[in-house]
Amino acid sequence: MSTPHEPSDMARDAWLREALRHAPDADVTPPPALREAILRQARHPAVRRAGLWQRVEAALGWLARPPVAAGLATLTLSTVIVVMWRDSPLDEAPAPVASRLPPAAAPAPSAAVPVERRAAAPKAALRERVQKPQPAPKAAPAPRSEAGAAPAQEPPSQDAAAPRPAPAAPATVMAKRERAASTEALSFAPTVLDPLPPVAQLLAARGPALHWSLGERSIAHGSAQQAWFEQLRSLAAGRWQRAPGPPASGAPLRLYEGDELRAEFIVSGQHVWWISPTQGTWRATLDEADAAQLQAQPARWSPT
Amino acid sequence: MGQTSRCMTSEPSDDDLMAAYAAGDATAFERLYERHQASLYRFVRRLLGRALTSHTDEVFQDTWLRVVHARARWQPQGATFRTWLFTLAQHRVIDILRRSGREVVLDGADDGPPWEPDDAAWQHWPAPAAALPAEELAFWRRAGERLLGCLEQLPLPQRSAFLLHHDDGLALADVATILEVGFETAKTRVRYAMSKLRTCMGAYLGPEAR
Repeated sequence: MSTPHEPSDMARDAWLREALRHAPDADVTPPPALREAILRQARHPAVRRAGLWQRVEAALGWLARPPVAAGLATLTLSTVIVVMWRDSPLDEAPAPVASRLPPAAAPAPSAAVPVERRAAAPKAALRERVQKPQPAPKAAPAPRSEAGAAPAQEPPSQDAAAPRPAPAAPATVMAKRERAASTEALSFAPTVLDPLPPVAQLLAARGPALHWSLGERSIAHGSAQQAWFEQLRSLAAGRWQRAPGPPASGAPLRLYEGDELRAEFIVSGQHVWWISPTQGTWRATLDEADAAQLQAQPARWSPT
Repeated sequence: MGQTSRCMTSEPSDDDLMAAYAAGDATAFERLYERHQASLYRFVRRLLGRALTSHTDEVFQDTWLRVVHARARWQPQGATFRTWLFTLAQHRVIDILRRSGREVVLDGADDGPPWEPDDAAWQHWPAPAAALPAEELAFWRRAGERLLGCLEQLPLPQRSAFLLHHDDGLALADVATILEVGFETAKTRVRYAMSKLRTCMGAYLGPEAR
């Protein structure tokens, strides 16, 4: 006699089962004290707390799974990068002269905003940095990668020419101060590599139809003028900044197409201005010798 | 068996209770305990045998405490709570047996086919019945006492398989899960156990013994 439990199961021996059912220990149960001890353990507050902790552990375990951990690491890294990028102008921008920025300079390029927040630093340090904007990334004190972008935002100062000029006469010093007052805001404008391609294109396309004007003299565009222009582009490359207006002094060299003024250049002191009817006013700070050479050449051009 | 009746009365399943306990419901554990404490205690006691019956409480308590401490990790994946509970007990019993210096052979293999009794083997035994006359009750009590002695002669794997299958009413698949063996292995163990027990019981409770 046997009793199958379920179709896939094996038949049970009914006699053996009956014998088991009547065995002396068939009705033995755990002692009440043991029962209470087990239930007390199960209800213990520490066990409940441990239960919560185990669930936290389980959650942490889930977070520790390679795909999840990799995702979190990526998110964390992205957050850090974004925070660093956003904070970089505050922490690592070069020294400011914003306190001396005249109200008129407000329309200056937007880069002035973070620059204004920069901590005060000796102006000499600023000069050191703006004099040579190209190698600045290596020389900049900031170790982070944003330092590479600093030269583009850092304006060259008008006093930033490399060989320092000899002590000037009081009148010259005053003149410099005046120019500085009129152009100091420029030091906050971003530098541009070369804004002159429109002029270059014009010279290339319309050269024979162009002529230059210096004072009372009119000079047809030729090889000497083209060479002067190319030299200007080369020397001023990377130093151009937007300027609020032309300088108060200096002899303008104007480029005409027929009667139409197409461009105007002024070399004064260590600076060269490009005034464009369509592109606005730009200024570049040059080495003093280079500026002097650019200023002297047009005087030797032969009038047509 | 019990699960079926619980389903019909809409009582929570063992898995539901375990999940509730894992979520902090201590009363769910009490209900689980009440459901399984008698069968588990009996299984542990019989598996240990008379010589080690003093360890029954220790194994029983350790088994439940493992449930307590493992509740957060427990998941009803492929095994019911009851299967898991008896697996824990089985492991703990093996620990006790090894600690006591007894040789624990876990393969439980026997040579030769198990003995299968013919109908005549039990013809002098009273038929199992729910309600027994007093004289037959005495017979079965003596049979039960003898069966415990026969059980102790079985290798542990066959003893476990037989108790889980015949006493606790688990299906062979669950027996295989608890013993961590294949279905056929569990089936073979039960067959060998039945064969040996029938031989042992028949010799003792034969017609001449009554």
